[in-house]
Amino acid sequence: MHIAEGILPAEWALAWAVPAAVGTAAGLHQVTKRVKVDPSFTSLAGLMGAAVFAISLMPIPVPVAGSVSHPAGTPLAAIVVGPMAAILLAAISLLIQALFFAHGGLTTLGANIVSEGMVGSLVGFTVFWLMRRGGRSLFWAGFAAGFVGDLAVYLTTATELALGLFPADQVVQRTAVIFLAFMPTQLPLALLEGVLTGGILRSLAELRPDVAARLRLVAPGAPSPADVPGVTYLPGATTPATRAPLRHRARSWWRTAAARTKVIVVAGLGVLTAATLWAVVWAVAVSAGSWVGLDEGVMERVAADQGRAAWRPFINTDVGDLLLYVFFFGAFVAGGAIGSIVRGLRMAAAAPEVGEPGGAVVPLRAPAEAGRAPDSTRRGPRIVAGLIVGVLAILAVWAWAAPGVSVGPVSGADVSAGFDVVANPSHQKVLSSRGGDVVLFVFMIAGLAAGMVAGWRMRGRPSRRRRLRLPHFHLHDVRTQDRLTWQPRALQRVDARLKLAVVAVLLVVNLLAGWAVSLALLVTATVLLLVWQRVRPAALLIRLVPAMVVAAMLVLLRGFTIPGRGLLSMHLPGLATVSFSAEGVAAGAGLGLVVLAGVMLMLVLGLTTPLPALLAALRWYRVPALLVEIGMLMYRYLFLFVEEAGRMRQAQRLRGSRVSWSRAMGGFSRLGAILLIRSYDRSQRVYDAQRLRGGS
Amino acid sequence: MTSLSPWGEQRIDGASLSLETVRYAYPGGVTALECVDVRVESGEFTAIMGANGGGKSTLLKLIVGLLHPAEGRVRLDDLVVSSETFNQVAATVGYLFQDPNDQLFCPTVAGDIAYGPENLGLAATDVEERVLWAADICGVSDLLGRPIHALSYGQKKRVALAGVLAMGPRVLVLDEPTASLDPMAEAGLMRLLKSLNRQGLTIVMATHDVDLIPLYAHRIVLLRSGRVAAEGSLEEVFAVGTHLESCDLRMPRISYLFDIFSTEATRPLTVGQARKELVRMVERGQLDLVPILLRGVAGGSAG
Repeated sequence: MHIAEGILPAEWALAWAVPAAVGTAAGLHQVTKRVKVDPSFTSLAGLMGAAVFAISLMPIPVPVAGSVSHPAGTPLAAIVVGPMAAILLAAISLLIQALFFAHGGLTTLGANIVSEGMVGSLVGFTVFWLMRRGGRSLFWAGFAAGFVGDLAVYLTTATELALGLFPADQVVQRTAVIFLAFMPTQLPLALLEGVLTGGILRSLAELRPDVAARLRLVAPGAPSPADVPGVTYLPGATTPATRAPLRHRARSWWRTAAARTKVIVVAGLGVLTAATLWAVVWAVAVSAGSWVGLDEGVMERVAADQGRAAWRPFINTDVGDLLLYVFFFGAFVAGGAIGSIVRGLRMAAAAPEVGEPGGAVVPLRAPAEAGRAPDSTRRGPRIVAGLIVGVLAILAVWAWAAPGVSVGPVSGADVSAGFDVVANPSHQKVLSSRGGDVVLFVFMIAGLAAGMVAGWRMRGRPSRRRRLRLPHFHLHDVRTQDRLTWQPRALQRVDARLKLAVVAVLLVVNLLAGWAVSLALLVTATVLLLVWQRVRPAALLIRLVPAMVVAAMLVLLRGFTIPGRGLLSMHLPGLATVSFSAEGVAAGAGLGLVVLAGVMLMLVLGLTTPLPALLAALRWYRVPALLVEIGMLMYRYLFLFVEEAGRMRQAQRLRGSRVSWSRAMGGFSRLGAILLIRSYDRSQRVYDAQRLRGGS
Repeated sequence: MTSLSPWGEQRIDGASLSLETVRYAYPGGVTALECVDVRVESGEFTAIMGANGGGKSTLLKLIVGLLHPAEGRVRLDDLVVSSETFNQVAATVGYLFQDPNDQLFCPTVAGDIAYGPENLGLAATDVEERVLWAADICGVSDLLGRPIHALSYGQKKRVALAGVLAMGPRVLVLDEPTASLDPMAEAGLMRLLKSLNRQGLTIVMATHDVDLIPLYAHRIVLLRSGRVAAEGSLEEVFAVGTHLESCDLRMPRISYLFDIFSTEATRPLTVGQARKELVRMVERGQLDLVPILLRGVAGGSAG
């Protein structure tokens, strides 16, 4: 994740710019040195950078999150072109992303270069190097590099955010909290990055050992057949045709006791490590004392100090309010699962048997359905339903036994307690033997019924599997964005150097001035783009979505961490009472405004100026020529590689690579490797073309 | 024409080139060229023909100095092509890559065409003039401000040629310039090459489009697995059909005319035969061939 424009205060933006500049300069120095020895390294770095950029734009399905995401790619780049060159490439990519997509930002460029570029490539490369030294295979070394590198990037990002957003004495806990908040999506993503990095490296070495040797992935050996023009080269020719299908191989491998032991030990260690890590981080996050603003007692004291009475929270879990709705929601979900399963079973019973033997030709199953067991034997929904029931049971026991909740008869006045919190502030019972119970069960049964109806109806729809697609940049968006910048409209005619300078100054003003100035900038920039530049509102909105998510998160974060009048209080028995304050929301909204204004300013630049013009403007501002040259090469070939990747992906899909997630990942790895190989070969030809016209 | 050509008003002083008993082997050990002796005179239009993997591209790369022969040498006028003379050779020879995406590495059309002239150390106004001139004769003037990746394949090919011509080369080396072009684009490109050739530019073109060659080239070099199978004028090479077939090529569609001329030299093409051929050509839309047929009839009558 890139830190969006405007999140970091000016002093931290400046502070991160220093190490980023040092890292980029070191990368530049290293690349210059390598170019002196091997003049084709410029085009190699540029095209490899474009290829890794294109790979990082491929939408990869994340199984847990039910959506798609993008790998970071820096560990891969570091392994392929070397760690220092990778820092330079990452810096250029981040600059392009900031200028072109308003993804990331100019004032946060330093922080992003440090996390994504420096930490990502140095950690990734070190892990890879250590694993290779330890004799691991390319896949596992690449996997470890991608996994650890990705997590290291996020840990750094979390640290940067914590340093920028919180007082110095809270940094450690806040880092842990932010890192934890990343975890649900980031842990699967990091695994994915690992699988992709390892898979791409393995495929690369299989397909073209000569390229792998040139990139110092493997020891130099015999040149591959592709070295020699005119010799037909079959990808995968290195694997004997007689190899047994993967499943059989895996099964026979599994039969050996040593293999089983290895898997069990590795898995056990992995689980243990993850659990320990989790426990440590959680302990630091939860128990490390001063939860300023989170503690209701502190809030009341702050209010009292200022001569005001503390507000009564609107929703108070102390009196069992929230639980009522938790039970309702739980029952709804369980009901949904039950309704869906019952209808599924009925449908399976009603459907005629398919796939009867006897036909000479086996029909090709539709890619999405092939490889999946028939509905009647699917265990997924049953497991989900079982899990939900289990969670409900645990919740029920907890409600019964948790501290702060008493079980017993309540007086007649408390009968409607489940609803009326303010009138009965002393009520503490969730499960009581009289009216409260009835209310609870009424809620649960209502939830169950509603859920069953919903589940039944959902199952009846033709396409049950609806995937949540988050807005993301892929092929289409890159090209649309590019087309927008080349349209000869009002702001395109302004000199790029002038635009760059004005926007840079305004970004700094945006950081330093108050929220009112940010609001003015936001409104001005929006009007400029919508009215003068005639950008479609929808096109503008879709580009603002990431910034809006960030702004919303800032409101939440500030709301929970700045003391003030409470809007909501949650009592987590045994942990803490957290509350959400009005002052925090105001502060968060102010910061969110700065972020939105910053991103909108970047969009003024990105939507009205072709990237080559921006890069040329940077050159005019004395940005090193090599950096600009590599940036130009990356821009030129990014589109080509994105298109190539799109075509290859289509070809794979047409031949049914979507039958399962693992095969899809295999497809992605191979595709990434082929993309790297093609860009390697092309970089050699591009270098020739440059030489022939007097370049380098 | 809005601007002066890089060669000025006069005729282009095309360079001659020669390959002298050249042998080349790729690092894998496979020999790509063996004992190749080829001479291309100044102002000549030579076609290098052969099947895929016959060594055409390798030969072209040897000419421009991207590869260096294991044995023998390549000369450009009196200049021996080697890594020391690379820059001089690059300034003399223009090389058009088969895939324009390899050649066009700058983000915009104008930037890419200007790349070569800028590296020649020309003044900014001269560079601009050359860019305008090259864009004009290649028909890409209206594309100058566009990004490369937004162009069609045919447009990319023309821009690539403009980038090469803007350097004012004395020899033009082209690797399959007409591959995957539509018929109109192909005809346009070949007409441009022919007119440049008439002004004196030496052209060496690798292709396996056998139908195209008789219309434009003076001489043919036939390559078969790295060796010269035949070399000579169109008539000499096409007169023996087995030459082409042994190189996995076929006779061009008009070759039967040459067949008729050579095997029945004593008997001129009769008016009846000529009419039949004429009708067939018009039906096929091969109007380019009609003048050749008529010349053949005239020559036959004279003989």
